[in-house]
Amino acid sequence: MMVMAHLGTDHWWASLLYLLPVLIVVAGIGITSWRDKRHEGEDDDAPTTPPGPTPAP
Amino acid sequence: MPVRSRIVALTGAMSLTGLILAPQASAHGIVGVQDLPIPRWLFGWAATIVLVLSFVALAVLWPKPKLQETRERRLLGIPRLLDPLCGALGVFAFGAVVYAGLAGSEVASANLAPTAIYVTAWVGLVFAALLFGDVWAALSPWRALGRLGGWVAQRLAGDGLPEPMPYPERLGRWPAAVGLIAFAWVELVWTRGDEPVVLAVLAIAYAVVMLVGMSLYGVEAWTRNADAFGVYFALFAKIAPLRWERGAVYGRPPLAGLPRMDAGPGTLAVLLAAIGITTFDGFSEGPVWTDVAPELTDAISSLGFAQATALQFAFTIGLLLIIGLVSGLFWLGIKGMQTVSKAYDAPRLAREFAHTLVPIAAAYIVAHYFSLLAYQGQAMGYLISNPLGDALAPGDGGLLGTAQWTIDYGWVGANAIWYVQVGALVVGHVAGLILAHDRAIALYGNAREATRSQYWMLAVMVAFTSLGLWLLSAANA
Repeated sequence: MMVMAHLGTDHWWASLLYLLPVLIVVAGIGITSWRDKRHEGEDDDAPTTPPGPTPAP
Repeated sequence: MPVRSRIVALTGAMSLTGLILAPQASAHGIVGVQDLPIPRWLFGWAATIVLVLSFVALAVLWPKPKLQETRERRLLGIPRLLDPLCGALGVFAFGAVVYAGLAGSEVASANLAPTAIYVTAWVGLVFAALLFGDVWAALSPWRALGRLGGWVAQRLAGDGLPEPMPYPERLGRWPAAVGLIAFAWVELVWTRGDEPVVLAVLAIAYAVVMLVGMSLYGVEAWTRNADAFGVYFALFAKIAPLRWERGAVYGRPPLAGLPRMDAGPGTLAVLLAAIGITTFDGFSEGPVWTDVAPELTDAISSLGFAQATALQFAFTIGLLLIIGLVSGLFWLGIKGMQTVSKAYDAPRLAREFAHTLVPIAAAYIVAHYFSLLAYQGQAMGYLISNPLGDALAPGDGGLLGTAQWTIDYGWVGANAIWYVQVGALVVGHVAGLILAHDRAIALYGNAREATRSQYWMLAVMVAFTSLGLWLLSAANA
């Protein structure tokens, strides 16, 4: 980051530095959403435990 | 800004490149050189971190809705005479501006009308609304004249006066959205948009339309829905900690007026237009538009249009495209919410979350126009003493003795302006996140689902913040 800081902002690619945090956040949110959905899918697919024998009183 | 239009109008003989590049120098009165401790883009990164941390903090510490129902406290009573007095002041100011426009100097910077309309009213009243509430409602000249007309008609006709027609619900605030874009077109695109005479004629025409509308549909219904300025300033006033009602002033927490905002048809369009207009104003001063506009203008002029007409077409396309881009960003956030739960359709979600755009629009306006108000706003000091822009003798103070005042460009530095701009953008977007989170909890019922629904709204907020900082950075470069 310090290297980038010293490169200055006169180049056109300096504009991309404003886009980068957006892309990082979008990527992070995308991954989080995907994991959330996968967990939901696993919960839905989990086999239901058959009822066991009634415990003796 | 009008400065650009002026430059464009006056330099028809210049090359197109020169036409486009010239306005950059104005950059809304930015004066001095910034000496920031870190590069400007790093502020974008810092703002993103603040937004992400705010989002996490809201998810953890804000499990129940807190803003949907807030209590207001009556602070003080105000004399009933204040309302008509403010209205009379508004009518007087309107008359003075129109007279200056019609009878005064043709030089925009010397005439009261352009500065009064584009700086004091258009920008200054937003700042006033954010701090003090709906000041415009009290000052609006057409509302005051409409109410006066209604009062006189009631006196003359008594019970025989017919009731106004019901305002068409489906029309909602669409007339205000159209009016807002039309005003922005005059300000940012039309080459004659800062000519005092033109502004005066347009102001009279607008007032006539408003008075006709009020006489048909009633003063309050028309002001609430169809008066572009009435709707615009009233939306920002909902952020304010004060609410004015006949005879009293009420106190409330900042932002508390927004969750109760009526987001009827057209409201979202007004807000997206407000953000888009400010965005385009910044964008049109930056390097990307400077590169694109000449090529677009050439392409349009090759169809047979004059160069000046083609330039206005290009700017119109740019303005509409940016409003479309801003609308698209918001819709992405709304569609993202639907990936979590299909319980609500997209139009319903857009209505429910429309109020979260108000602090974003406010942030964009404060960030973009703070320097304009700080510097060019001072021009009102000498313009009220010499509203027609007459040539005065040295030492002649004019009407109020202030005609010799000048603009003090030293009272706020370039660094301070940048910090205000960054601060406004960050605070505005964090406020948007808070409002969205609070509404999501009220809507989805549990904090987990509410937080998940706001993932994409966070991305939208980060995108708006980065876009805002990029625009400011490009304008300041």
